Order: sequence, then C-alpha cells, then structure tokens
Amino acid sequence: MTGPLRRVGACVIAVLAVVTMLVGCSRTVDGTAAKAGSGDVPRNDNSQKEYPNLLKECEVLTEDILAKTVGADPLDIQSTFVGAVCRWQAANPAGLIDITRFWFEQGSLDNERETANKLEYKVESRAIAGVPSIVMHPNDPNGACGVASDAGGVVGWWVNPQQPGIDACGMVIKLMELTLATSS
Amino acid sequence: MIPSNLKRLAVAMTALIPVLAACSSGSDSTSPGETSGPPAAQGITHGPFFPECGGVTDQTMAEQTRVSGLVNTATNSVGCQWLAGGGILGPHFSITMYRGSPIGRERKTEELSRASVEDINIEGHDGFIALGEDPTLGNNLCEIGIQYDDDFFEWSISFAEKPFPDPCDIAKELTRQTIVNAK
Repeated sequence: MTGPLRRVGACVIAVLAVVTMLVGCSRTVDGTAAKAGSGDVPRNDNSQKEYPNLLKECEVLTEDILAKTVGADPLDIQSTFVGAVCRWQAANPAGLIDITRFWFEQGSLDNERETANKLEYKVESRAIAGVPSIVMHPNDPNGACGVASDAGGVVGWWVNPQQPGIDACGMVIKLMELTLATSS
Repeated sequence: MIPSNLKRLAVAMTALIPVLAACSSGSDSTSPGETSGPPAAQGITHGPFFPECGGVTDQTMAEQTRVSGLVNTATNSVGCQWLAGGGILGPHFSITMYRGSPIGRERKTEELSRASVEDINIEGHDGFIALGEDPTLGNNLCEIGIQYDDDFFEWSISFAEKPFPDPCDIAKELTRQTIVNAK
C-alpha cells in the first residue's frame, strides 16, 4: 500500500472501528462464544475466520448520499443485498436505478481489469481522487457504467439504470470520489 | 445476502462525523508522478472466470422461479439481480461474484441471521447453504456460496408470496449451472 492509500486505509479503519463499536452496542446474538473449529455449535464451527465488522461494508456512504448522487429522493432508496457486495435501488425521476458497491480486500485492480476485459467491457484507465482506477462500459442499451479503484484491495461501484438517458458514468465516478476523498 | 435489519445503523452514522473530520488533513503528502506497483495480493489465488450472470439466462430464471415479469436489473462485473417488474417489492433473485473476499465472512453473517447454515458440495466444489424462514411464508429464502480459492460466488433466492417452489432446489440447480459455466 502506498502513502495516500495508507492514509485512506487508516481513515477507513478508523471509521469502521467506530461502526464496529456501534454495531456492537446495537445487537445481541444468542449463543455462547466459541472459537472457530471448537465444535460445540455444529453450524458455526466451520467458519474460517472471525469477522467482528459484519455488515459494515454497505455503510461507508449513507443512503442519503447515495440517493442524492443518483438524483433520487432520500426516501426512495432501499437496500436489496448486503455484504462485501451491496445493492440498492433508487428512484430517479427518470426511472429506477440499481446501484452496486463492492469491496474485495484481497482483490486487486489488475484482477478487476482482467475480468472486465474478459467480459468484453470497454475499459478506460484514469485516476479518481488521485487513485489508479478503471471505468467500465458494458455494451448496455441503458448505459450501465462501473468503476473500480486500487484502494484497500479493490473497491468499486456500478450504476445500472433501467432505462436510457441517465449519466451512469458520472454517477459512479462521483460515488467513488466520495468514497476515496477523505480530505474534501 | 439479503439484508435483515440495516436501519439500526442509520443513527450510528451520525456519530461518525467527528471521525471522518479527523481524516481531513494531509492531502499534500504525495508527489503526483508517484506510481505504485500493483500492491497486490501476495499469496492470493483467484478462481476461474465466470460469464455474466454465471451464464444463467433470463429464460432459465423465469422457468426455475416460476415468477412472471422478471427483469434483470443489474447485470455487471459482480453479478446480476432479477426483480419482478424491476422493482424491489416482491421476490429477489441474484448471483454475486466475490474476487478476493473471504467466504468465511459471508458465511458468518449468514450464521448470525439465518435459521440454518450447513456445508454443501456441488459438482465437487465446497461451500455453504443457508436457509431463511419467514413467519408467514415459511422457508422462503435460500442462499448458496461456493468457494474457489480466495474467490466465491453466491446465489440468493428469496420469495415474497405464496405459492413458490423450494428455493433451495432452485439455488442448487443455478449453482450447478454456474459451476459448469466456469472457464
């Protein structure tokens, strides 16, 4: 990890640490703590690692910010999938927009570029907030557009409009700027 | 996975503002011409390439789920999502690709929120199968994750109203097709 990324990473970690604490205060899970593999709880014993920051990833940008970026009312956005990949649907006045975010901490921009090339997307290299990134243009009649950046492994956004005429690339670049820019 | 209760975090986010503010200085510490070699991922082994949607067609989705008017709303490099009429009110079906993300974390999330999570092996590949229960619908949700080294993919099948076919039968069949389509 290089200098700016380390700083971004440190801030991300700081933010996530706070989220973790808050999440820790907000829910109770039944059962007895057990090391992975200790075998007392049959359906828990094969998890490979302990991850205290569960469900954190979708909250790096708030739904209000997401909605505003894609031109939707903050009341008109809803999460449909959570984890290392998160999905939302937002209602832009011009029509519905599906938003996807991914964060693969063991992934890489190179691997995402290679995948996009194999999917025959048009791939454009550029910097976003000073971070090496790619913009991905599938051959989609509605103008779907994706972006991936070399930060904390690889982080990315997709905007899939359900109808043409929406600036999806402008939206994903803005979402990535918001994700990466801790200084503005 | 399909979210269970995210709204509780909304309040928590307000408390993050001071933390974010603390991250606001020092943007001048880099020289613009500095290049970084791919920081990448030493010791990480990626799995095979999968075509869009794991190679599963809209027609297969309609046949398997028996839901009419399904719209593929989000085809991209990390998966596909099918919704009735393109809207979120109704059933949710999706495939998601994770390239360099631990399957153990996703499984742990499932274990904290689902009725059951078990090991599964399909076409020689290991993973988990998670079953979700709804108070009125019964077993309406099934999610299967299959591991390929440091990658995995996940099928999520969730119905919103009766009658519906067994979601795990569908998830298993779509998982099998996806595995076969790996390149």
